[in-house]
Amino acid sequence: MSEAPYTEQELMVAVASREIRDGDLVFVGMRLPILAYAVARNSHAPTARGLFEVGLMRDQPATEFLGTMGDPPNVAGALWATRMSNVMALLAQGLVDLGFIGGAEVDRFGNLNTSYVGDPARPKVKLPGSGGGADIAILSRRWVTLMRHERRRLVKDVSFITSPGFGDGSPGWRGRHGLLGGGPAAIITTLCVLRFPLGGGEAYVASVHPGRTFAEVRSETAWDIRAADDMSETPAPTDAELASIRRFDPGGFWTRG
Amino acid sequence: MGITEEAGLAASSVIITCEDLVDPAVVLRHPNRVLFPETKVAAVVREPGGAHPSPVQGYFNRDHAFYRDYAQASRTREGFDAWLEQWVLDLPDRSTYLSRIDLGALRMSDE
Repeated sequence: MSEAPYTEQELMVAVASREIRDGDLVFVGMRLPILAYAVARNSHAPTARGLFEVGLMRDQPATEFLGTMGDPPNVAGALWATRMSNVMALLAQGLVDLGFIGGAEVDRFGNLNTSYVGDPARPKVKLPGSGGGADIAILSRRWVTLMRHERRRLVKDVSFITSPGFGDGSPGWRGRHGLLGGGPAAIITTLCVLRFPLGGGEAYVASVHPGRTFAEVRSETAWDIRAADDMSETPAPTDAELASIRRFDPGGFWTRG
Repeated sequence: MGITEEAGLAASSVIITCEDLVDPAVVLRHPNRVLFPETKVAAVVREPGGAHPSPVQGYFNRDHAFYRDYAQASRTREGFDAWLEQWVLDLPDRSTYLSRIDLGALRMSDE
């Protein structure tokens, strides 16, 4: 892999940036999605706005490296610097087109667990909890999560649903439970991109990253995962995408670790 | 501003540390920008650099390297203990701490 012209993280950022459509109001999460917003804004989505949980709205990426969304370069040039609860209110009004959520564990129906590993009554590991994850999963029109593709992370059923995807996978589950937003649009992993049937259901492999195989995906997924009939190869990051990523992460802190 | 306003209002009393003290008239010129009332405030401490390694808008940026070093060191018990000695236990006073960091290097380039 040392010969590869880009890292796993750079590929994930490029793929995530393509999920952002021009004009979207994007609820930008921590880490890689911060870069994905910057890449999208500087290419195919010039009017996409970024909404940050810390209380910021921007119409352009920060001009310096960000270690967290609350760093001064993210406040400088913001359209709005407000309280967290005002940002969450826009989410509750259904105004957020796309949200990014981090997850430790995801299941075949796109439910995310960031609370407990093992039996929640006697957990093996306690995780940080929801943060804004549950709000984004319930309220944004669509959402995307990024994670390392490992068998212990892509599980058949999560032991605890912190942030709901399509619940038990039955048709109309989200609507029956009063969830406003449309649910997960994609799970971007280090091996592939997973998507869901229209209206919800079980995740399938939409594309496999360059140099990776469906067999690898199967062996690193804890349920019997299916491939799309038209499964393709994930387009590699373009030179322009890589240049943009490296401009916003010059030391490679997020993408060359 | 995150949860600054809610946190201040939820507390029974607040201690504020700041970079600069200004005349009350400067703050009260825009009372709509006051996050919580003076009745919540128990003390105000002028302590330049007090937020380090976190940033203060308009004064200095986040010290990314300092956070990275701590994250590295705290992966092991021994590393954490060594960090604690270097940055907390072995420091006689505040001025020694400030002498070992470079706030000037963290000034924002566009400010």
